[in-house]
Amino acid sequence: MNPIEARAALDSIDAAQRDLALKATYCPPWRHAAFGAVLTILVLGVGFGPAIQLPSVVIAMAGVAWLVTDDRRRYGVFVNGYRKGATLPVTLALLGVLIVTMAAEIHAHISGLSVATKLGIAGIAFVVSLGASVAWTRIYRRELMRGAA
Amino acid sequence: MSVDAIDMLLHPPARLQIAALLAKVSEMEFAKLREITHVSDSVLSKHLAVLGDAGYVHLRKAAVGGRQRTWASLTRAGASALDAHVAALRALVAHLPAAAE
Repeated sequence: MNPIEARAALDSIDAAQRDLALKATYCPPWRHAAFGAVLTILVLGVGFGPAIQLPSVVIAMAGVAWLVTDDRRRYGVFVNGYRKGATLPVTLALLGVLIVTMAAEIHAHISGLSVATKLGIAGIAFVVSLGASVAWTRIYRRELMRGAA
Repeated sequence: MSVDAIDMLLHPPARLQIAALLAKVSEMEFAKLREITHVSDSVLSKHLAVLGDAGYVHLRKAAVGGRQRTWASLTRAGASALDAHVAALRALVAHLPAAAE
């Protein structure tokens, strides 16, 4: 193999990954909202004690399973959110916010704070999850389009 | 890194593209791989079989939407081999004059 063939091989990698970006990374707004809703259910359930929390966990898990199945069916691709790469900081930041909002819900439950407070905390979780989903998709797409080869 | 580091299993363009695509996803369905690599079913099957035999790719069958489909993913060995192969390609390209790039 000579350098020109090597350059062509690297270019073919970039071209394939750009094609992947164009054909399998479009995420409709409802998909971002659905992801946010699933995580919000998980967070909100914590604020209402075991009677609500357990069903909310089941609903959230079912929601995750549905989203994964739908992604596979629609795009023919599955990408783990915890993948290494430029998207990992977004994933870890979202995880951090979820832990903080869950802790806040637990505090609200123990302290007997109002339902409005619990809904407010869940609202923050929704907005952050929605934003993280949008950011994650954009960064992933940019990574594929940029081409690292 | 020398030309000796070139992995001949990843040398064919379609096979290199398959590995490079799988490196960016957790799993990809056979039809999507075929769509992006622009090869026929039989050619893709052969490449996947070679990569599978080498331990670079894991193949599994799963039903999605009531249909049986084949899903491919890159193994750790495959990811390492791809990284080494790309590094060797980059080392070769480093010998190119800037204008030729």
